[in-house]
Amino acid sequence: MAIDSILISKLHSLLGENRVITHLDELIVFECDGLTLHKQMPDAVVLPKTTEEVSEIIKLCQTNHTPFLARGSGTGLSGGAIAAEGGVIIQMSLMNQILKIDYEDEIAVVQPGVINLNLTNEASPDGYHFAPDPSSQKACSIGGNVAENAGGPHTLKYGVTANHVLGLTVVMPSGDIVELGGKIEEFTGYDLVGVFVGSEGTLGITTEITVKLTRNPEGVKTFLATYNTINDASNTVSKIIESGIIPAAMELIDNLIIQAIESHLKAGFPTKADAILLIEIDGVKSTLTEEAKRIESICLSQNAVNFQEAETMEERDLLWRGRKEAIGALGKVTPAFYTNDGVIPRSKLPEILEFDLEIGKKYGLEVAHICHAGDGNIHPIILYNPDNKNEIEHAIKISEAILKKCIELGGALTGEHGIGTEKLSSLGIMYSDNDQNQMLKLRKVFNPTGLLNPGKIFPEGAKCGESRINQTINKGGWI
Amino acid sequence: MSQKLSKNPIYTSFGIEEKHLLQECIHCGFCLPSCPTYSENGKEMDSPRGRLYLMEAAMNGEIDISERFFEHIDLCLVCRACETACPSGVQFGKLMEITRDITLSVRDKSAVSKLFSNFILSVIIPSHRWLSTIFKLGWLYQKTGLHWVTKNTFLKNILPTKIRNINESIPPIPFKRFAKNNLQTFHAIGEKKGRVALFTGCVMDHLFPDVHAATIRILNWNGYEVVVPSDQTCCGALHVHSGDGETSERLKNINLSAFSDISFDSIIVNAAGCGAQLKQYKHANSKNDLAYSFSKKVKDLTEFLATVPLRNPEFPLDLKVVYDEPCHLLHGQGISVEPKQIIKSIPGITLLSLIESDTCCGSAGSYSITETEMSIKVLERKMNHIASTGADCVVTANPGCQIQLEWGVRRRKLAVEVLHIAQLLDRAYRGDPNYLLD
Repeated sequence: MAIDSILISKLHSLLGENRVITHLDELIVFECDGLTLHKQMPDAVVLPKTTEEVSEIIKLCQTNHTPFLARGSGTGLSGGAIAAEGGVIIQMSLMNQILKIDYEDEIAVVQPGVINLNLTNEASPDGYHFAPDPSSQKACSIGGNVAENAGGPHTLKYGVTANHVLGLTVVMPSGDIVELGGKIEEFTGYDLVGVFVGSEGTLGITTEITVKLTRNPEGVKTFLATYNTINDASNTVSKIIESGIIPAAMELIDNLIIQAIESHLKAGFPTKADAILLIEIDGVKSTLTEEAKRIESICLSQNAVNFQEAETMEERDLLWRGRKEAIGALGKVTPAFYTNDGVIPRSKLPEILEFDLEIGKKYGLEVAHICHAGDGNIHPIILYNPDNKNEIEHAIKISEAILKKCIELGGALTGEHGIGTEKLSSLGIMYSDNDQNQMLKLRKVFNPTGLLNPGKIFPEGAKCGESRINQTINKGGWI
Repeated sequence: MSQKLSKNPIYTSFGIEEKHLLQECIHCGFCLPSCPTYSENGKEMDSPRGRLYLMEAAMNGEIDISERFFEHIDLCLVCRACETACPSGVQFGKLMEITRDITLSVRDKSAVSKLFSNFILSVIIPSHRWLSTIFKLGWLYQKTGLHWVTKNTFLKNILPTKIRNINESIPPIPFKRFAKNNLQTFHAIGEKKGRVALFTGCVMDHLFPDVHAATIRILNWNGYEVVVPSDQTCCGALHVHSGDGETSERLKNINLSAFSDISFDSIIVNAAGCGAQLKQYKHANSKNDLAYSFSKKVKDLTEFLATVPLRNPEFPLDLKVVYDEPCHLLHGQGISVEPKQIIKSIPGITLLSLIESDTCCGSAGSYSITETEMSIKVLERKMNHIASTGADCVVTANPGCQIQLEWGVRRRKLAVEVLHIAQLLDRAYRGDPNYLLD
């Protein structure tokens, strides 16, 4: 679609030429986000600095019947930030100010372009942090976290983004500016914040976010449990939860991923282990010793061959760096990989891990795992050669089969990455037409023209987009 | 191949090796917040991931090599902070150097920048005689008060903004460079533990002779004899960053030969940018034994001091200090702990933490001259952070950073001293500031 030149000139007069990008040689860098599987170039990219500018941009797009969507750091893994049907990308990177931190009420007000970890860094000298901690937290924006309802390793105890958002300033697809929620947790009337968080940027564009700050725990203990079989490791996960302990985080990493981490980052994981569990507990110091003992005895009862505690802060940070940057390290052992974020009930963890390995064998590709095991978020990682078309097709087939199995086991298609363009074709496995129609009706209330972020979540809305998206296999991503 | 594509040197010259280097980027975006230019303007094309994407698109013939392409390639500081942030180990700096090198021939550069690349880079910088003449003129320019006049009177308003900024950034110029035309030897004090050679470089030698003097005194006090080979020249880093691989190679060979017939344990470098470049001599031609053994001996001053039992600094310095990490020390050579340890070892000093101390100051070799506007934005951000600490002294380990930070301090009229780490340690050893200088 060639974009209307009148729209461009209006955008120029609104923002100045420097904040409007329209040349093809530059727009190409916006054709994909963290998911390189799907590509589609926008017709223009604009960089607003204020809520009012966002509102004006949206009004101009509506008048010109041009699709539009918001983009943060472009680290998402489901294609949520690509212009699936062309149009204007509203790039939020210049709206990156922390507007207010209020420790008395334990809240912060931020613009959507603020990097997740920057908020924690700002609050940490005062003993606070922002709890949602996706692995991409060094780079991803809080606006993006809101759109995708991002999780992370510490989701297990602290909940996902939705549990930490109190209020939102939203520019509606009409251009109207509305306030949803507020500064406290009680909602009057419908919980529209709950509707908005996780709507993958299809209901409106947020320009100010009021989030909860979480007090840093008094004490933290991080453990590394080593196993000779992945089955023992996954059984341990269920046993710990059954015992009534809720760890702050519980991550399962298999041998292939350990090898990758140790070849590049050298975080101190045992390279001979079939699997490890990275378990963290936090809270009042006096209670941690007892909890640690119980966790150790459960791990050992499930055949852990080694159980050790990170002794220093540096050791702990290194283990977490290994975990969070593991996917990057994979670049050293495979030219490309594809990952999804299917979820299963925790008790089914051994079953799905076995299934993944089998389906991988069937198609002749290796499947590795790095799971948020505590909440059943499995992250299978399918290794393939991007120059081999056969392997690309097989990687996609394996991923689809795993997602189908997740639903069969009573799980979900996505734990934290969203549906985006990536899992459009799988939505029907989980939701009936009636279910989907009900959600579409809701979308229509907020987004009646459908011009805001079309081609996402629902296969119905993507008919037009499908023909435009250039599908190549993903090179990798963050989990 | 279309005519357009045949004029795209990235399309025609990038081979398997470059493709492989580019493929190591998995598009995760982890590098974005580490990039000073992305932090300023928020544009994906001015982020490391975006620049790699542009290179890949050019390699695949999807985009033209236009002025627009070069705008984003040129705006990169090559600070390599993205390499530290990258979990995949993408060699961004190397890819940027290759891109600049192979596109140099098709660039439609202005007469001014052609003059810069052809004359300044390949004729002036490699020649100590040329440099001495120019710096003598600079010395005269300041001594006669002309510099003061162009900075402080109505004249400054007639200068174009860019020239005015460059003029204001000129630091005090000494009368003489440090190195001599003959081999110099400085003897160890007390028991001799070894013998090292000092790499003197170009800017450091002509603008900061006192840093070289301090470096030698520190080494002498720690029991090392220091030799200064006379035929050495610029390391070639400026050339590689500007895409002039040819001159860089020539300078490398001059340096290899200058250090070849003297025996020493290590080559000590006190300029982070030069150290990173000298360590890379071996990469360019790994089979060249001379280059390999040369690079292996190269040690940053702080890196070297961390391996020896450091003589205790005796004289307390009552200073609140911040350490601003030179990019090519931290990101280029992975050296960060050593300088901080040295600073902490000095009695009386309080080392304060500095926000974004791992981010570029905007100097970046010739960047402050070629991309003045962005350079100033990056500097201003740095100065905000420095000012907020309330430090009396900012410590660096690279001449480019020292010039830039000194300018930042002058612009803000801050009561902050800018020191090379050698100058700080030397002071704690209570060095006589006039020793070794005539």
